[in-house]
Amino acid sequence: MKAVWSSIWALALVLVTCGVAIVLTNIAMGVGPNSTPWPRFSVIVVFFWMLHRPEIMAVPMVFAVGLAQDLVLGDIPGAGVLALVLASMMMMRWTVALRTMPLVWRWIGFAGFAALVFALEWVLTAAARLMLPPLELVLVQGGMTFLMYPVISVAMRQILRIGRTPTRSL
Amino acid sequence: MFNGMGFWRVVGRGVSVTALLAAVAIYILGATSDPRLQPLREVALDISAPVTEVTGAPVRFTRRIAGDAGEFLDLAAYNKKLREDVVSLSQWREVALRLEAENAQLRALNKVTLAPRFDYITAQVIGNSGGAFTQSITINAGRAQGVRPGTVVMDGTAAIGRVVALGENAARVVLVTDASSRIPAVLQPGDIRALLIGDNTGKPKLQFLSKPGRVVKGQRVLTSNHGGIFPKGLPLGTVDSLLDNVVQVTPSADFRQLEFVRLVIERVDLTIDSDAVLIVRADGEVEQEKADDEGDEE
Repeated sequence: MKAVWSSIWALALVLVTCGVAIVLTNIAMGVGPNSTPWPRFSVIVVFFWMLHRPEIMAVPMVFAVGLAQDLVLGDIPGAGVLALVLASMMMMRWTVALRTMPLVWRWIGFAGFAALVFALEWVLTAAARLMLPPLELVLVQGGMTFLMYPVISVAMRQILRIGRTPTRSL
Repeated sequence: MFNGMGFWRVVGRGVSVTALLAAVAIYILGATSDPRLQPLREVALDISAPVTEVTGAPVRFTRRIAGDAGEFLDLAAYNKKLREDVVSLSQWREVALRLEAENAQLRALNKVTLAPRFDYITAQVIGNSGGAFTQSITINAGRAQGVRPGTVVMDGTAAIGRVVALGENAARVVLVTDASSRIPAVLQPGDIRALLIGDNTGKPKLQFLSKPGRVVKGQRVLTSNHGGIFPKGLPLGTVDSLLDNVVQVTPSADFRQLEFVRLVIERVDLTIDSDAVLIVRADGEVEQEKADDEGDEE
């Protein structure tokens, strides 16, 4: 029974954090071409759960998060999904090794994952629109997402501890 | 055939491959702008817009405070400029009202059918796509407020985009700078027809110019109503530079200050009858009042 509740709690946590990440990405900090691109929090959250709850953040869940992100942000539907799904499939093997490593290594692993996601989405967007999206904007957004990883990761580890029993958290 | 672990592994792989194929299918539908994805977009808008509006409130408040603080520091100069603007605009208002009344009388005399007139809705910007791949915003007005797909969106004076996805109380607006934006335009003076094409930068480009040799820096770029989506004559920007046959345009809209937008809602045509009394109100509304025929005859 305890295991069932633990699984439900973990699933709820994953869904809520992914939802919050997508909404945060969509908040209007600045509007239009002169605003600085805002980090893609959903990429951070997907990678975090791939490390810490791989049984939940499997390919179908990555697909669901990517689709929700594309629809909410108004991107070309499918470009973000496909980029996230392909990147997660490529990184799946590495995440097993990264799970027990210190934060710096996980951060480096995330850099690879984020680079893969943004590069794939850039290519897919270019192919869909027959026009190259401005690279500098993608680099700025990718860079900001990379810089935000440790902050979000530390905060989410604290959230992750809430659902655990005291003995396990020690 | 399979042992326990092997079976679940095969199922897991099957589900993963299905998800990948579904992603490919959605990408193809998205890239070809297939209308079958529209209901999904509408549902996503309806669910996400209220959440974004509430969670974004502190951010918008902070932005407003920062903007106010900046203006406060320059209050004296700002006040002086506003006074000058008020004097200038008062003069123009008188001219506009006189011309509008004169125009209405002439139209009545000639039995003209007026071009479709417009209503305006004001909406708040509650979401922003983030920028790298799409230049779009979410606003808190939708089908319930009379917004329709293709509705033109303006800041105070200039066209900034059009509605592409519609929820009950929210809509997504693709900006003129987005890579998918194509707006038929006309350059004035010179009456040069062109297509304004966004490229996700702050300087959309003009292509398919009818008279390329006559484009000069500083010309105004206005909507031309070709295609019927944008009303004629809305300001889009000014010609900024001409380099290697590439004409760049600086948008008239100030996107940095964009917190509220105006949606242009088209109304039905209004035909003027010769025996009608035409009333032009101060707010620009035009009304016809039929003369009481029978009473007059008696």
